[in-house]
Amino acid sequence: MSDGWLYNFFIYLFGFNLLFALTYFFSPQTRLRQVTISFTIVAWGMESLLFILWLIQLFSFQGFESFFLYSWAMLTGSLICLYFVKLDVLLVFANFFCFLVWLQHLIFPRSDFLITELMMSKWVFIHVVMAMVAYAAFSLSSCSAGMYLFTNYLLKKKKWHSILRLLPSLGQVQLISKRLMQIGLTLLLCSLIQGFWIAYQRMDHSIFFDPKTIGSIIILIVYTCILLYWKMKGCQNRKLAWWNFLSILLLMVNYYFLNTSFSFHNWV
Amino acid sequence: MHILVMGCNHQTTPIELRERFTFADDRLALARQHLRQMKSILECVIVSTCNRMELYVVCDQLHTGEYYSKTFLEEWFRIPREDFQEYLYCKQDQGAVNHMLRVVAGLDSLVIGETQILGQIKRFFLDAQEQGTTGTLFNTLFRQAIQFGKRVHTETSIGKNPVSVSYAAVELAKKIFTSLANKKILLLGAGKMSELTAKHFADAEASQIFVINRTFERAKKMAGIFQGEARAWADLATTLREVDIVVSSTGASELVVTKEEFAPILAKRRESLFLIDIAVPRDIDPKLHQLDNVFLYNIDDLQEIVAKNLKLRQQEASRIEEWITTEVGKYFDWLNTLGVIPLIDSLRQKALGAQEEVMQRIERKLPDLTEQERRIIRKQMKSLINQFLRDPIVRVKELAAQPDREQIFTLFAHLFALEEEGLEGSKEEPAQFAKSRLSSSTSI
Repeated sequence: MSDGWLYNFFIYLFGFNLLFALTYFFSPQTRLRQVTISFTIVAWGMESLLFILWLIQLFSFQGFESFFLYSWAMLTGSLICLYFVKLDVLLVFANFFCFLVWLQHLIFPRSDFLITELMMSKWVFIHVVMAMVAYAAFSLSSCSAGMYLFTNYLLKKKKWHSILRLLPSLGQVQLISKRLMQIGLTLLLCSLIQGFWIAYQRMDHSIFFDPKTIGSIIILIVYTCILLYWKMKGCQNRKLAWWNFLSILLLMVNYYFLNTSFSFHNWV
Repeated sequence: MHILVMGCNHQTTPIELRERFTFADDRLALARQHLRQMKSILECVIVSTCNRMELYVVCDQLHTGEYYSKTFLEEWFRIPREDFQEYLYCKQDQGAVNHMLRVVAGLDSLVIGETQILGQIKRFFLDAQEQGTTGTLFNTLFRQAIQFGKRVHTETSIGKNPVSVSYAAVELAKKIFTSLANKKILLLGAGKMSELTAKHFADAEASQIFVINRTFERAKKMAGIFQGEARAWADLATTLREVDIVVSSTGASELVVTKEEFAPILAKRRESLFLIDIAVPRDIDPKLHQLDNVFLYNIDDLQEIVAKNLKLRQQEASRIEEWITTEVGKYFDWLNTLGVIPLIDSLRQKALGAQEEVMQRIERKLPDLTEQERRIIRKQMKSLINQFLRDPIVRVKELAAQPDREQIFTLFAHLFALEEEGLEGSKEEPAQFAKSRLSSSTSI
């Protein structure tokens, strides 16, 4: 996985995807849509293949990085949304994030992490998968909130723009945003509980002081509050959508900037 | 042979004459038969809709085709030629095919980009094909036109943007709600515009329609049309809490729904509310649009959307016009290749004749050949001939689209010594040749 050509390949693939998706977004044509979807499916298929290959050599963690799981989950989520609710616009965001994470890992490769015996446990693997899928679900939920805000803006300003025709209805993005948040929250909670359990079983020191753990708990609290407020209000409003939209910053801070003393979280 | 279209539509002919040029459904087959039997007419399709009447014909001479088409109209509708000929348009060959493609794409319709005409043309063509009034030229042309029409509607957004105020309101509602299927609609005022908008919402399967009007009897009457529920004016506040969409068009001279009175009620709502104010003077306070999850559109807003959509359709139309030029070229390229078929036929016949001669000579010289050996020799010879002829046939088909094809055909015939057999046929006009040689029943 650490081979440079693979990074280059995926960066070019996502770059082209993004280009097609954006062109389609600004100049909607059926063929462009088909090309965008086809390229995304190709990217997803190749990532899935790599994922399966990696699963075959399960627990030999060499050469595998967590962002790959994030990218795969983003693509899977956006394709599921496309299949069930014809939400094409989510593909633009998914490709954008995938392009960014692959590019970031090409520019700043993490080659110095130490693979310990602990990291080769299947429990740790499940912990990482759940956390990364939760992050992807939260990211897609934030994108949906962004779409809600943009559609709401166009409708309030009465701007009948060609982009508005591409965007899904407010009700639809609300529903998707909520479902994704619920999925993300459940997975993150499970991942945290499992993380604590692993730490309790196999580590000498407490992980409560680990910045990444604290960051994850904050994320959990923030999203729980958003969902509870949503439940109380009955529907999403602009304030709530802004909260959801901006929460992606918390994810990024927690993923990229909170250094940790644990070798395992260092790997993540 | 020529293709001709003659007819009238909403742009060229007043309604008084258009309504006289209507073919009754049950007499259309008879009319087609009558037209087909006219002198000079070789193929025909009649198109008759509320906005257009058109005769599509293949004729041997343009002037006779035009003359006898007019004679047909004169005889069939019993209207003197002088009364209608100034309103008729008549397009020939490329112009006729271009016109036909514009019609199927919806560019010649009253509402640009409408899709109904495509279905109608398909039906008229299939009926004519079944009756046998079409031949190779029209079977190919109409099939190509129908495919083109489908492509236009799938690959462009010409028919996707609403161009009526009431339909624009429904499209806007679809941008607010996931589905209109479980939405409740309130009609405030029982005017004609409300009824039309409500009809669109009912078509979109809105679950329930309430009607509130100052005169309760009119509210009841309107509710009856949509199997809805009439409510008293006093119930306005409670109904506003229940419904998702409000269509307002009362004749009131002042605001009926004010922010001061209704904002606290609307604030208690948990779902979005779409207010459509199509009354002039307005019924709903514009300040309500400022509330979160409340979207208020008045008649000007909707008309602006319609104007933008019309502009978009026109932009798409200019793109489609370019496609039409290509399609017309494609059709005439195909038409030109028809002229080469007699040459190819002659070449094949000559080759098969030579093969047969050689085979007989072999049989004379080798009388002991078994049946199986004969079959093998025959098969191998045929294979050799096919391989040898494949390239010249492909090349001459390609060259048939060139402007100097007559010279090419002569040279081709000369090279293969086909003068007596093939050249006569290839000099025939494509349509005549096609009519005489090819089967007329091509399914779509």
